Amino acid sequence: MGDGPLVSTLSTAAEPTAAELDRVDVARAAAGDMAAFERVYRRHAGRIHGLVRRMMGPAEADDVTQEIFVRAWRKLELFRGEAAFSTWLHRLAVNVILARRQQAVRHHERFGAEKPPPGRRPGRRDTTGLRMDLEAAMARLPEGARRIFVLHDVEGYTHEEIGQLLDVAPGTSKSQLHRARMTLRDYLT
Amino acid sequence: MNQDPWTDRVSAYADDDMEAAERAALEAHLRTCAACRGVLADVRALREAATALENPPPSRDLWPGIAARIREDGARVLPFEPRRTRWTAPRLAAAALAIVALGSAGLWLTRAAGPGPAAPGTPGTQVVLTAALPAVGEQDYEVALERLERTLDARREGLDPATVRVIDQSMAIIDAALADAERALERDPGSAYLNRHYDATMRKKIDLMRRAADATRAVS
Repeated sequence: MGDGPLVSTLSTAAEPTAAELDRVDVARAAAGDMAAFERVYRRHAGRIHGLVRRMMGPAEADDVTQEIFVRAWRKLELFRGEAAFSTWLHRLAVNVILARRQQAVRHHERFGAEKPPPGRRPGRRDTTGLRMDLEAAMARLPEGARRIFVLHDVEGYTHEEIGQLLDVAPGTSKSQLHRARMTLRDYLT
Repeated sequence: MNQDPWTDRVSAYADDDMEAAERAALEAHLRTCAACRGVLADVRALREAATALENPPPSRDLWPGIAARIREDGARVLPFEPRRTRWTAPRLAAAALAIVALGSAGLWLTRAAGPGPAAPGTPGTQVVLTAALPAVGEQDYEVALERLERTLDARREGLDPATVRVIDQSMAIIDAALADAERALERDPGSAYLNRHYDATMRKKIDLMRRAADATRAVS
């Protein structure tokens, strides 16, 4: 009968959501509690590390992930709770990643698309196979296309948001996304 | 290479980012074009796979490195700001009253834990500012401060006016140094020296208030 919703309510009450845990731990961390901040780190490390790895490659992923969390600690008091903490942290991560890339570009004078390194072409989809191959294929995308694909298709940003983050027109984001998808399709077939 | 002009619109269609008229035209095209249907199916499969990507934790634990950098960053400013804003005048007054509750600022500041008598003429202000600073647990501090305020509400009467003056002077000196540091940081927020200076001054204040809390506990 009606015990489904009741059970669901009780289990919700017993098991705080990640957002609720974040609220408590972020407030404690903002007051200087490092143990609370470690819990925040452990809840979000996977997603942030994944974002960094996909946008920058595996070589820098650990270092940049650490930098993101150190910066988050420094800026915690700026978090007003208007958005979910995960959203705030994600934005901060994207900004750190983009700043790192700009530094690298300035220092190494590397612009534009990188040629995909030679390698195997992953075999065509069946869903799990496609997921595994997609990671490898994304890594081969030119940097600009990869960033937009990761932000849009993996992370769910809109073209308007990407335009603001990357300082490009939304139309540019759309056309780059299409190009990225067609390139991935090519890699994966 | 597919020259079909509709191919370039398939992504927008898959994202539902298309005007109704164009959408209808593309749908009509899709009914007759197997190649574009194939592209659409692939785009949808890509999107589905992209949203299903997993995010395993990093292969090595990055927390020790993060914690070390945070600790190294001991002079950081921003994490202390919430506390800075909470130290309103009434709280500072409560802290001063806590110290006064001991009967002699010179005594509690110059004596570690010994039972010796008070030294009424001790220049408390200088001792406050030069005392070795023990590690301050920040949460302990918050708790002590709350306790301090409650305890001293009941102790305002009967305090030694000379001790009040000493404590007020100490607080005034620290607050003036903090105000200077804040003004300088507004002009140069990235300065490592100013951040360290601000942090060191803040720690002196924390220490003063913590000692007040400890001392208040001892006499209550």
